[in-house]
Amino acid sequence: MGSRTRFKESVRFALGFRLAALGLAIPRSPAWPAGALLGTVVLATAAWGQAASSGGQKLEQTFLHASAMRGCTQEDAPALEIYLTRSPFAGTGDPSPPYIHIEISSSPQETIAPITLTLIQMRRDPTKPGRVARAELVEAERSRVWLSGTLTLIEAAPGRKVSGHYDVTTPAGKRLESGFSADYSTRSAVCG
Amino acid sequence: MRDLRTVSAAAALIMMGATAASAAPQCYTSYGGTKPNKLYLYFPPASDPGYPEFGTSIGLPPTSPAHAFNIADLTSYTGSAADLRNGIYDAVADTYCEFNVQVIQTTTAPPATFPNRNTVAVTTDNATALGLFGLAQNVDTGDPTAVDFAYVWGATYQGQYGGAGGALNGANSTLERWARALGGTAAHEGGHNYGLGHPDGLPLAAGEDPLVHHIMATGSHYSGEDRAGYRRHFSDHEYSVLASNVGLSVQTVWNWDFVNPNAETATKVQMDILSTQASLAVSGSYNGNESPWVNPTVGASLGTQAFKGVTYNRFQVTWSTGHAWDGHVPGGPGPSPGVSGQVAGGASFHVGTGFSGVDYNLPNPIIITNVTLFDASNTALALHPRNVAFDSGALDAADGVFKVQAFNVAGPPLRLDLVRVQLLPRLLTIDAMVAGSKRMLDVRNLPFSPFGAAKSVVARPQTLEKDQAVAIPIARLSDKRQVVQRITADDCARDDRLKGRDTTNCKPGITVSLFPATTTYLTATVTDPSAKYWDAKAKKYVTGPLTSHAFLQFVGRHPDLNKNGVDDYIDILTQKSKDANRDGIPDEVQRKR
Repeated sequence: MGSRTRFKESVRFALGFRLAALGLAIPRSPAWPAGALLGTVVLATAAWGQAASSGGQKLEQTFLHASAMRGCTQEDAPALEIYLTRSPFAGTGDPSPPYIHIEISSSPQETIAPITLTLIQMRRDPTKPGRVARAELVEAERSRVWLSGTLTLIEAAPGRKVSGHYDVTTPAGKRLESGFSADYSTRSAVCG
Repeated sequence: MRDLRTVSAAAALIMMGATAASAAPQCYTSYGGTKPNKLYLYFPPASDPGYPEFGTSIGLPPTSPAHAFNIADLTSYTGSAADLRNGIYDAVADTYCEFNVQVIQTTTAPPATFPNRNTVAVTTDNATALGLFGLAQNVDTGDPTAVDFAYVWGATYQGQYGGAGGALNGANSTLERWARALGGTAAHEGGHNYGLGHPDGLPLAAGEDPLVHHIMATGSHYSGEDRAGYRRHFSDHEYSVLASNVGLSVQTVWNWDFVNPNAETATKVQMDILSTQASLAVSGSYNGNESPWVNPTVGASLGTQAFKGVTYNRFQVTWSTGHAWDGHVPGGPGPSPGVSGQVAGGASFHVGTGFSGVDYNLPNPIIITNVTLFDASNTALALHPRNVAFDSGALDAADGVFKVQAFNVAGPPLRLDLVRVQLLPRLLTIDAMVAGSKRMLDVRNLPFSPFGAAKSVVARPQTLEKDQAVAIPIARLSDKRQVVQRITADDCARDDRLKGRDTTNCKPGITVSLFPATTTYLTATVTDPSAKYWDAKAKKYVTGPLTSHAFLQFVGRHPDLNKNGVDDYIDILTQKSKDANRDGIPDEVQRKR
């Protein structure tokens, strides 16, 4: 078994284990009627690692929907964009807050191999070249914060699936951690 | 045409290298052409290996060498390269017109002459396969980076929209449409380098025009027609952030409705002005049909004068260039025949101008002390229009209230009847600063909405005796700012100038819109209850109430009572300063009082 497969399987195992612990299953197909939503939407979120912490529903546990599509990074590099939302998001415009928006620079037809990316803030560090990965928590239209932490992509194939896991922290120190899975829309995007 | 932006081909020669811009808009808010932030539109005539690389590091096509700007790459474009360069320049210069940003067109690499340089290489490079029109070096939140770069892949427009039926093909392939498309991308990438991100393109104020008319939303929001068919502009939110980051180049805009109280016809009006500045510049003037004059001039300092314990430089602003007009202001005395350059005895008239070069670290930056009318022989007429002088506001560190002072400088008792204030997200055109204006219009004559309704800030008429002043409260330091953006320590730690540290001014924490707003619009009615004036209908001098109106707009500022170089609002939000009584004044400043 190659390292890529081992990585993928280990993350799938971990994701499945933790979802199972929460009484959820990893969906293998879109939960929404085909064509109802552009590119998207499956499930996928479940918190782990903090399920036993304070009572009440965690913010990330409310992001039950995931959408993946082509888009742009903040500096206009072509990108895979992932939206984690409370309600289904059709991919047009921007979803209703709260939501998590993830951007990962990549070319339109690129399949991204399994990888864990460190999220960067708005400003890039020229001494650290490589793929741009950012995530922001949008709690209200004018309340947006860029997150630090990591993003793990298990798969990211245009026209197929995007799945993975995020482990992020807000500037105020609040930690959000969950998995996601979505259809990856190949609808074209332009940047700049 | 009442648009204040004038086109002056003669004045538009901007000599950078071998390039001269023609037919460029000469923004009325220009600091006389010395805006400190330079936005270079660099059209390389050939491949330039000296241009910085910031694309390949994230898997994009290289930005170095910068591809040439070669219209042969734009196969559906049929005009000349020079026309397209100038058209792009026009679009970008117009977009940044009111801001403290001078747009410069060049075909040679920009020199290091100016410390604040934002260079956008406008090329005919092609990244159609990526759907990539432009790339900024960074989103420079708060704009701490003095030197930054961006890149435009112009031929991506050919690839995306130049084909049959495309937004830039056939009859759609006009100079104007190509210029809007490429200019829009250049303005967008320049905006990133001034600290605007894609999220700044999303908020829309009530009644604001559609998002696709604006600059900064992510590219997929805009269709080819959105890009080519409309000259996009900054939204209210984008405008507020940009104004906070780079400033507005006009600082006060004044309009007045006066009455000529004399029987004689006036052919010139002159205002005596006090300013702490060594020199003053007129930044555009009211040229509408309520004024007999246009294009006022301001001379050199006439010496100094003490006022309220402060020594000011004296200036005179003069209106004498004739202009066809209506002969009166709506609702005012008149009409007179409306002869160009003349105001008949007893008739009302309107004049207005903007000023730049005002230092807002000092209170009372401009005080208008007297208004004098002259006849055709250049003799001062005996009776003067009534005027209450306003400064453009100062913070009272005792109570955290931002107050504008009104002064009766040199006349008989005057009554302030009605003073109203509106906080605005963008600069209100001077042409809309008139009594009968129904809508808020910006300098492009685009409507916009103020932040809330106008509020009356003087509860009851107040009489000002000679030399008396009254403080008019406008806003409180504790008032919430319209825009609040967070900058992280990581954002400031980067060495992203490509060569050397360039973030020394970066302040981790929060950046906020100007206080009390991007601009503040104040209107006042001033009455001399016992004025002697010429009653044109009765054809005799009478004594009774004579009313003038003042319309004042001034730009916001970043309050810094603790003088640490950071807006006090940020100090308090980030808990660098305490504010126990929540009045918006850092406690360390209050303790010193």
